[in-house]
Amino acid sequence: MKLNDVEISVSKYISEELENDVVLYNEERMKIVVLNHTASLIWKTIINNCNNQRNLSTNDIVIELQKSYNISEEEIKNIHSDVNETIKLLFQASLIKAEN
Amino acid sequence: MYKIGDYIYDSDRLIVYKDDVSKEEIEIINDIVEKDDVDKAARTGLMSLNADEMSMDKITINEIGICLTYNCNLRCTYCGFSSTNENEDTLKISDVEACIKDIILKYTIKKLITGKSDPLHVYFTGGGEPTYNWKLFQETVLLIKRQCIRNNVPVEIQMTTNGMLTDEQIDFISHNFDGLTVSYDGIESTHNRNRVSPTCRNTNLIVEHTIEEIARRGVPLTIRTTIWQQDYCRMKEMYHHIFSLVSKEDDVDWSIYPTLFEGRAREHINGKEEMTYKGFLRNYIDLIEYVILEEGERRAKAISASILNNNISKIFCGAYKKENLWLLPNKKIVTCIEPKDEMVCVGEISNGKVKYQAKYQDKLLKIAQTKYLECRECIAYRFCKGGCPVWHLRDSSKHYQAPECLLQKEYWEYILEAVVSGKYSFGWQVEKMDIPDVQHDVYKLIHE
Repeated sequence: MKLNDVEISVSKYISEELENDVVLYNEERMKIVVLNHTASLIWKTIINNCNNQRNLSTNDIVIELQKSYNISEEEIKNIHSDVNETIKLLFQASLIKAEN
Repeated sequence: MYKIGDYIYDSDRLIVYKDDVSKEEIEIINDIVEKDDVDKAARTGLMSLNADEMSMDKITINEIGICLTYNCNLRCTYCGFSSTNENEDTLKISDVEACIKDIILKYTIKKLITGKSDPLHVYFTGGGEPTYNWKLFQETVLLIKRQCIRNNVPVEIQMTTNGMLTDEQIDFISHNFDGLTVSYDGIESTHNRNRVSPTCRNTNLIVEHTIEEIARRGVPLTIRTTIWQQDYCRMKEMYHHIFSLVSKEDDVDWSIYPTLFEGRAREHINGKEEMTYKGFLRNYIDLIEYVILEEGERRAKAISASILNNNISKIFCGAYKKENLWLLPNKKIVTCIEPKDEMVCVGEISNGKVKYQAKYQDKLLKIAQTKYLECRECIAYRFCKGGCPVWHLRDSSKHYQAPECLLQKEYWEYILEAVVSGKYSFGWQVEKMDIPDVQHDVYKLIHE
């Protein structure tokens, strides 16, 4: 599956959902990531698409978020950068990995 | 090595043998019986830390103590916090919410890493009476339960209370608490003399009613009695009265504590008592022997003096481990509440969020490290490892020694003498060891 045109895979992880957050634990790297509600939606969108082997872009994720929240056109630009930040965080925590 | 009657006690190996063992045999014993390795773990855990540069890096918090207020509706003569109703610090429900959310997050991280989901322990105590502001108390308990349910965290809630409760309050507590400690000073006269109310003459009647009701409703109950030196001799009388309040089937323990040299008690102790704690152990042992004769060991096991440590100890003080934090009325988060004005602060609630300090000094750790080395030659060392650091923060007085330095030492002299002479020894026994080439009997000290 490709995310923003990069072939990726998802690392082995376990998770717990809290009322407002999702806690992810990358067992291989022993890293913990706590995602807020919005970031957890981004994560779930990536996972769903990965499971279904569907490619995904930041724009696709923004559209998914728009469905969940009532987001104005002005806010969309910020959402774009938030999505990219979250994707960067998930790479840093090795929860998603670029395949060579 | 310590001499107990005709026996030698080897503290490093936790063994006992007759004092006429030859030097050669002692060498064989020392070669064959290894030193207990508990010390090694303690050394790496305690001595490797830098008390001047500690950081709040802990994620595995198992317990949170919540001290809602320093105010109290009683004016107990020995109150360690000298509580009145004039302290203005009080937690808000939003402070507790921020704290419990942080603890739940830490609990969840720990659960993911370890795979364990033991209950989170929440304890209301410390300073004032937790139920002093009943509305805040009720809201706090319900908030914690709600948050834990929503986030799939098993929780056990307990409290220490003065027991000045109405039936409605007892109902609420019975439904929402997993255990309760009620302070009751044994008999009417001592209770009313010690646990004074500005508005109510006979506090014993209300507290006895609370004890009866809580026990009847099946909530695990500990009755805590604090005793002045002048009343040590009344322990048997107290025992009869306390257990007359509950039925034999009730889940009730009795915990006895001597008054400690702090807060309001200091003036009284300095003026009226002999060496603090003198006579406590003798009366406590008499009581236990009496209860065994009257009702057997099962009932005796429901009685304890928690100031006497009955385990082989790695480290007595675990405050530096930061696994059991306390939230105070002034919104500070500390490692232990007992040091009163010298608590070690690791964080605070600020603008609705928990903020931990990047670096802090840990006075308790520093004392624990010092005592761990200093106390090695003491007979009680294996059982208290230098004891609670709090006592060494306080002023010295000719009437006062740290509890461990007097009571714990006296207790272990008794236990070791008791195990070799076959007297009651609070669960401790000796087990004969088979050591080749040693003619004398060598015994390992074990707890049942």
